[in-house]
Amino acid sequence: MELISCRGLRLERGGVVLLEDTDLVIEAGERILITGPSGCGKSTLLRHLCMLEPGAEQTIFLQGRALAEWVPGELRRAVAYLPQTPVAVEGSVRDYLCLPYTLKVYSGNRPNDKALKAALESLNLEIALDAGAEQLSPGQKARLALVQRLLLKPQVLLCDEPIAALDQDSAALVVRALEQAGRDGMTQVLVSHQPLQGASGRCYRFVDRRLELSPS
Amino acid sequence: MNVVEIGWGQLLISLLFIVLAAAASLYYRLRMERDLLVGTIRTFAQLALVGYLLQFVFDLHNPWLILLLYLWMLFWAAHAIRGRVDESKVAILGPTFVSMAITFTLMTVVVTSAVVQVQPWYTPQYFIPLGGMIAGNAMNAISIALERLFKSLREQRAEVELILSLGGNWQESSQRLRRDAIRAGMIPSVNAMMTVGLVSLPGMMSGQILAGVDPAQAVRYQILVMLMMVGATAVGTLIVVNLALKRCFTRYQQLRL
Repeated sequence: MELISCRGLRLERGGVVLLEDTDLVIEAGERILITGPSGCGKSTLLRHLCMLEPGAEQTIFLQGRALAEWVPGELRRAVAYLPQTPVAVEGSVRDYLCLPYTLKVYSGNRPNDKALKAALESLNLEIALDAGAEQLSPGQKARLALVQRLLLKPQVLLCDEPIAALDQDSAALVVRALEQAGRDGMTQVLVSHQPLQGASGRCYRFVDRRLELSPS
Repeated sequence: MNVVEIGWGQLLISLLFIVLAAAASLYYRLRMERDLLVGTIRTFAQLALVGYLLQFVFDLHNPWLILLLYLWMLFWAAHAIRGRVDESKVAILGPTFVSMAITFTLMTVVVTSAVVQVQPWYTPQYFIPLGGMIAGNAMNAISIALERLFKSLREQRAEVELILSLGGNWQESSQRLRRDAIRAGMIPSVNAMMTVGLVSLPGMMSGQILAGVDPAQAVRYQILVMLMMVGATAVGTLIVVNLALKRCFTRYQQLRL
């Protein structure tokens, strides 16, 4: 089943054309890996897929409906986005994980502490729910941010450089968690300037303002 | 009332103060001589012009003309706010002017008709200075609040977009920034209430006392002015910040800046 499709997508940033006349179809449950040098527009593409960036609402479709036709909150509930640098928010680990449930789109679905603990453990995060989220190491913060998005069970997860800032152990844990989520049916678009070891999926490269399917 | 009058000749003596400042500027190479000169000339010219204008305005008896004049003042206040905030991506002149026009005109009408109870309510000698003080004070507050708002939207873009990307709307994503901006705008006038009379005598009250008004009377006017300004500041910043904030986001809940 076709989940996301881009038809004649054209992306610009600050007057520079990053992508021209691009078609891309992502099937439900599929994993797409996108690589390319820094500055080529990988992050911009992800931001457009969740409509965070203005300009492509009419040329990107989710479940056959142009993004412009979706209620933004519902769209972003279906398509979660994990930026490269996790955002530090004041408060405890519990506050951070429960932040989405303070918003109208998720109201009433707040998971209990047991569910939160289990989610943390799935990424080998042995931290107390009452610990300050800002005191965590960069590797822990990145995994915490991933846990937050996974708990929301989105249909699609967009990850920007999920392992770039991580040591090997953390990186392996993140890739494993993504694999697991993929087996459970989560569609994923991962962007990275380096190959993601151990992650399977269809691979695209940014070449000359086009997305080129690459063999590996 | 017995007021010692100042003639233009005596005023020339006060130019000595400017000469003093210019000398300091030359000695320390502050390069402010030009600004001091231009500023002095403008002070003379603008105030002389306003003096003539006011004489003319005080003879007006048509409420519509007086309201029009007040709107003209508010337009320049809104213009000054746009200049100070200097934000190219979000148009703020229109919403700032319209909201100031509605709220401040209403407030001034209430002050002149219900509190001062001058007959008629649009008597320019009361309406224009009281409304002018509201506009001037709120202008500063609104600029501070808007500057703060745009600065924090840029600096905390990641946090705002985190909430947006989790499915929050523009209100949810900027709640904290909005609160901080409104507070920043209101703090100076609230602080002024705390220190008034202890640290400084307000200009209006001092002016009335110089003009021979009974100090107790001048004090009552000053209290009215302080309360009125705090109210206008709160309402003005609240409305303008909300209108500006809404314009920072597209209808697809994207941050425009």
